[in-house]
Amino acid sequence: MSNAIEIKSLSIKFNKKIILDNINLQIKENSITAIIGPNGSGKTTFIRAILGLQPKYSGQVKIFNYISPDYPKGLIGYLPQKNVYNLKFPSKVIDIVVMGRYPQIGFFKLPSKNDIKIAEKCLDRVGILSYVNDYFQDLSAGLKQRVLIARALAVEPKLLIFDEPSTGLDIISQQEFYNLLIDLKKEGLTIVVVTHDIGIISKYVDSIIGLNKKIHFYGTPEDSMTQKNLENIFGKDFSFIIHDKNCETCKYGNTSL
Amino acid sequence: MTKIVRHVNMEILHYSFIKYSIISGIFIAIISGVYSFFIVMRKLSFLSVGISHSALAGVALGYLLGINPYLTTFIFCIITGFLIGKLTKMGNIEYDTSIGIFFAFTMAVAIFLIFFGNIKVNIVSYLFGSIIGVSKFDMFFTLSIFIFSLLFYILFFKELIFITFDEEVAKVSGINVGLFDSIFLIILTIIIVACIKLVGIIMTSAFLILPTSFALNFSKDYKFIIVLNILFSIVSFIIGFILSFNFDIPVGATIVIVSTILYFFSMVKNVA
Repeated sequence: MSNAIEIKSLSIKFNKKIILDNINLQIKENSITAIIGPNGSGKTTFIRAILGLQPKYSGQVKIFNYISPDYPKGLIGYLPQKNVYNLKFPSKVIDIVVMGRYPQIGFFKLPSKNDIKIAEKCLDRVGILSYVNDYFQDLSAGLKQRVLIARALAVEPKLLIFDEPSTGLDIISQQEFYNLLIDLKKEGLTIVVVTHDIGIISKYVDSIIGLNKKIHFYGTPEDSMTQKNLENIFGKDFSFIIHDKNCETCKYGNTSL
Repeated sequence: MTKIVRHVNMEILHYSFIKYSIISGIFIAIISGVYSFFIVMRKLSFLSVGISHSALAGVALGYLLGINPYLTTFIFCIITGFLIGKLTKMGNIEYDTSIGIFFAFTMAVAIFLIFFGNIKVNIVSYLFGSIIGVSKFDMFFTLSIFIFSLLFYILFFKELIFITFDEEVAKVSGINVGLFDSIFLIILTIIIVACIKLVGIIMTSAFLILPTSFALNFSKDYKFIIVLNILFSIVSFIIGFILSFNFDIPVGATIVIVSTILYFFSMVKNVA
């Protein structure tokens, strides 16, 4: 399996303060990777560098062998954090999801019937097709999040990057979301998720990156989710509880802070 | 009201400056209605206030140097817009603080130029707008601004909407947001320059803010809101223009009062 993401010696400073320090890693194609770390650990900066949004950095970032930021259109589907988009934007749900098709549509053209069909299919995948003609601003935080997940899917990308996707989702919706990621992986997608759901992600992801300015650990959930590793990035006051060691279906993930 | 309209029918089209004013006003109403949506949604209302007020210094500079004030106003407003953006980034301050600094500074520069340059031109007409101030050249100048701005809107409608909703994902999608922002700033500036003669420097920002504020009370769909914006702007302009002509009051102020009253009426729907 080849690499979807290759990062060499990535360092980012802001006002002489080190945000990311000499990051080196490869993320395999067709995998689900979670990035965890405390607030201010550089997670969002890290994915901004992957996305090609970070103006100044040293090192090299490649996605499917394309060097950042010169990616072809439609390579990446992205769900940003909740605070970066306009929550009160006056638009129908379908028009928001169709925005995901814009890279493929190109300049000077309007969305075709096929683009609308793809957008509706993506709404169906996240279970909210019935809201297609509702207004975005009227939806709850959780439903808005699903609309934006549908928009990221509508890109039909090779790589999906989600920044704190489960914000606003209830526990059932969270599980549905992570199950959706597994389905998408089966379809060949590579998925990177920045998350604070360290209690449940182990059940769903192939590998976990522990980030706090530098990579403290990177490996399978079994290898990564240890008391020592988590203490390293979250601090000494961290306590790690495994609720049921014998629970087979829980794999390594039935944990909490 | 019927009396007023009859009176207008008899006299209004006898003067060529009235024709120029009406045609220019309709162009301005349509284009400010269109761009009002993007200004309000991107929270750039105060930026439009800052840029429009900096126009006074541009006008004064034009008269002082003896060149067309449109040209100096345009250049001055563009520079102000870019400097506001630069100061926000470099000074590590919020946008509104940066605009506040330039708002006061450019007004001070204007007063300085008027005072020391001993400019004799009627600055009040630039501040509050004037029907008689619109010439044939002004009308064609407004027409060219109208065509350029409308063409940009039609060609890049979906990109403008995408950036307005979610700038970050628009960038990831391959849209050159920096370039679009720069063109948007130029368009915002030329609309302000086009507004100045008729509406006045002080009243221009209301032209760009009130339409969307009004339409948001009636619709939750941007497509309908933009159509409503245009209708609102045209109706406000026509009513304001007729009243201004009949009662000999500054046209910009009259249009803004009419627009604001219509906006308050639209609020009644929400209160009820």
